[in-house]
Amino acid sequence: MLKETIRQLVNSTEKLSMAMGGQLQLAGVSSAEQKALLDELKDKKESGYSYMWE
Amino acid sequence: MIEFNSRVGSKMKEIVLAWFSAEPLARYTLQFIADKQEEKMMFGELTNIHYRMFGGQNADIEAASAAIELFILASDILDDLEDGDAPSKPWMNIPHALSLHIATSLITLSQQALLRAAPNAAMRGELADMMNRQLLQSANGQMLDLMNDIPDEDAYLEMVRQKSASLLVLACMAGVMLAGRPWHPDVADYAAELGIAAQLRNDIRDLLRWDEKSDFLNRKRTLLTLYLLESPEEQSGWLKAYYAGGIDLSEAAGHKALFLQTCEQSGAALYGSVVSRMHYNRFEEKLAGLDADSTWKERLLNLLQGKFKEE
Repeated sequence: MLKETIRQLVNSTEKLSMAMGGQLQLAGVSSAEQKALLDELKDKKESGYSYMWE
Repeated sequence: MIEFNSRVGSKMKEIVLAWFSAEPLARYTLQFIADKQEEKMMFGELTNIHYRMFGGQNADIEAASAAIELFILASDILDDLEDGDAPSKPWMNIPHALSLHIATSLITLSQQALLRAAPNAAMRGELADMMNRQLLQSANGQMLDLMNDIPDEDAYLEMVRQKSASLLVLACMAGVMLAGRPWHPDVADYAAELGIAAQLRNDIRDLLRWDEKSDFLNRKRTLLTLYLLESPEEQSGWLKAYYAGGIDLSEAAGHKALFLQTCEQSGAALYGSVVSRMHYNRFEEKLAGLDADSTWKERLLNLLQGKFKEE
């Protein structure tokens, strides 16, 4: 369901901003997936581990 | 981090000069190490941090970190030779037979250097067994990747666990074992999670680039290209045709803007970053529960978050 949720979010600025505000019910998405999604939406910059392989 | 790179780079050169008596073997290898020093040598730093996290005192940890980086260098060279890309790398600009020979020599050298960093024979035996198990796991994963016929997401993540995560386990566990501890299953678990998270970040970059390393142009099957190929037909029709051979490379290469638009509209990069973040979050949770020196746990997090401070 995570895939479906992401496909919907990227095509709706309204849903995207609601998700970023934690106001969107994400049916079928586990709590770990939801946390990771919110982490990514709020903090898009790459971390040091992004460059383990260059 | 810069100082660490410099110290470990010097140690790598010292090891090369001690064991590679054939002048051209040493000369080319020193050139390759100089190139490697331009990057962050995070694998060696992982070995160093885990050694200190578990109270290591008697091993030559700088030599061990250098040994791990020598293996990573060998792995980089072999990977580039197998993929046939990275034209700017020095090992791609000499006869490939020489690069292949240097890479295989480096694998043996890295094992020799790691074993000699251990303070006693018992530890050397355990280290050799651990290193070979991780390298064999990585070799299995690399073969599956080269075959490029991964059927689905689960198979892809398992391949990454073997090919890439095993090298993170090697780097971390070498530090743990040199500190006098046995194989640590919790460290192995979180190192594997970190390895998967890191490989998926690499996949995002290779999805969005448009050169000889582009996963799309090379028709590579990754978590993200599989996601793209599952997109609604109006988005993915031409991508599927390209992967099936119905469109050739020269035609596909002219559709960069359309490809990037498809990536954006499908959320492919976001999907990859979320799956990567899930694995990174699991790594952080497991690290938090580890009974080890908190100063070095913090330093590990700083390294991974890009805060490279010398301490």
